Amino acid sequence: MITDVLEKLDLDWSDLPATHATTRELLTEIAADREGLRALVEQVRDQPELMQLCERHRLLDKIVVFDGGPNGVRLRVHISTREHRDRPHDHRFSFTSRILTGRYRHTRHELVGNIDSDIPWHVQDDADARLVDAKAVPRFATHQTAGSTYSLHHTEVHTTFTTPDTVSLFLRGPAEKERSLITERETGKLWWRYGADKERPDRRERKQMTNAEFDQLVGRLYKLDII
Amino acid sequence: MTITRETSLERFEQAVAVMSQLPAVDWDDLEQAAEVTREIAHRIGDDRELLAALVDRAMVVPELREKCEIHTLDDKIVIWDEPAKGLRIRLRLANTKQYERVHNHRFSFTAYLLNGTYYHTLYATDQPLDETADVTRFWPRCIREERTGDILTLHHEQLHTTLTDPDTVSLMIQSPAQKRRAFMIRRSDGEVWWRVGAADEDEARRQEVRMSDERLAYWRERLVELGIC
Repeated sequence: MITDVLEKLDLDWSDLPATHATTRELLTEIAADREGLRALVEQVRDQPELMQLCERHRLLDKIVVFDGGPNGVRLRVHISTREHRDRPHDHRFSFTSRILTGRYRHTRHELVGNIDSDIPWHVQDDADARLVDAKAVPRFATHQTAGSTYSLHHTEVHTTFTTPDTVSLFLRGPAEKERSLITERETGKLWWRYGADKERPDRRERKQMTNAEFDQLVGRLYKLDII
Repeated sequence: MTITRETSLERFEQAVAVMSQLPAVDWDDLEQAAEVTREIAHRIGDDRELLAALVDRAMVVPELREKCEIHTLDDKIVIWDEPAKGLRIRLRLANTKQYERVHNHRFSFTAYLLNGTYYHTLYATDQPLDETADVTRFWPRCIREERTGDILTLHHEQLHTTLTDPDTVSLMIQSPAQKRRAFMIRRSDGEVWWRVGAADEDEARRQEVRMSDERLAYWRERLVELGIC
């Protein structure tokens, strides 16, 4: 069972090359085991603690299929929405991602200039975003296609400009910081992303996936031959 | 088919006609350059006859022939050089010897993997890139595999390492030089050295890196065996 392997997964994310070697193999195995993946997705509906972690975002829907292990890993299935935007961002955690179907333009940026860390806690969505001096300058660009895998450190700022129906496996480590940043290149604005415990309640509520939405997404995964 | 002088010339002319139609690349906009060079990479890399004609042509056009070089980790065959359009195009041919060296480049570039794999790591550091650099302060930030068929574009300032499988061949489209020398540090012992352009190399060094006719013939045959051209 995949969950048995995940339960025992003891990763040191500060050693990213070693962790990548392990997680790359694991995600390859999970991607190849369609029945296993189907069971993993289907069991979420019966687990309220996983269901409440599933989220709908403007660019991406996230189904959390596992949360646990000795030092905290979370395995998610990401499904792109119909909206695609150029939004350089970092993460609160390091992660490994494998594309199951679809593709996206992937850019790694260098953040040049200063970010005002006094931008308040409540700045948590694009409507409330603040103008900053810092600019995301591209340093590496590629197209991420089905079957490709990469690991990214939590300090990296990147953009994933998806195409519709792009689905990936996303294995994240424990949170390394309180918040991550997200910027929009068109507007030069920035806002924060917090973990669920520090998120603005109205935003938390808005993102929460309903059972009906979950069922609809699972239906899409069947249609896309992922599960 | 026996290649006569006439048929060769015809092939070369046809190849030059295609290459002359390639668009110019604005390397100051890396993402735009990535998209434009992606098209160029497919146009050349997916056309075996065109690539074969370009390699054959590089063997006889003196300005290209003298740019074909051998190095410890990889060899190169320059097949097109048009700085005004921001295009130097070459084949990178990996040798079997591999070690990890964190480095940046004198130029930004796009690589199209025609065969093999790159084990690719992008690094960050917090120190000046010179002889005082501490090798323990280059942190791996992104770990990836670039597979046959993948295309990537790298800014000249980005530090990285690429370990390759044997016979890894990539089509490289590079910008004009953006700096005089590029930084390199060997991960195993921290030794720092620099890569400079041909114009900054002395005659002894040029002789040392010049690809022999035998080596060029070897690669020409190998490219056919690998189904690349």
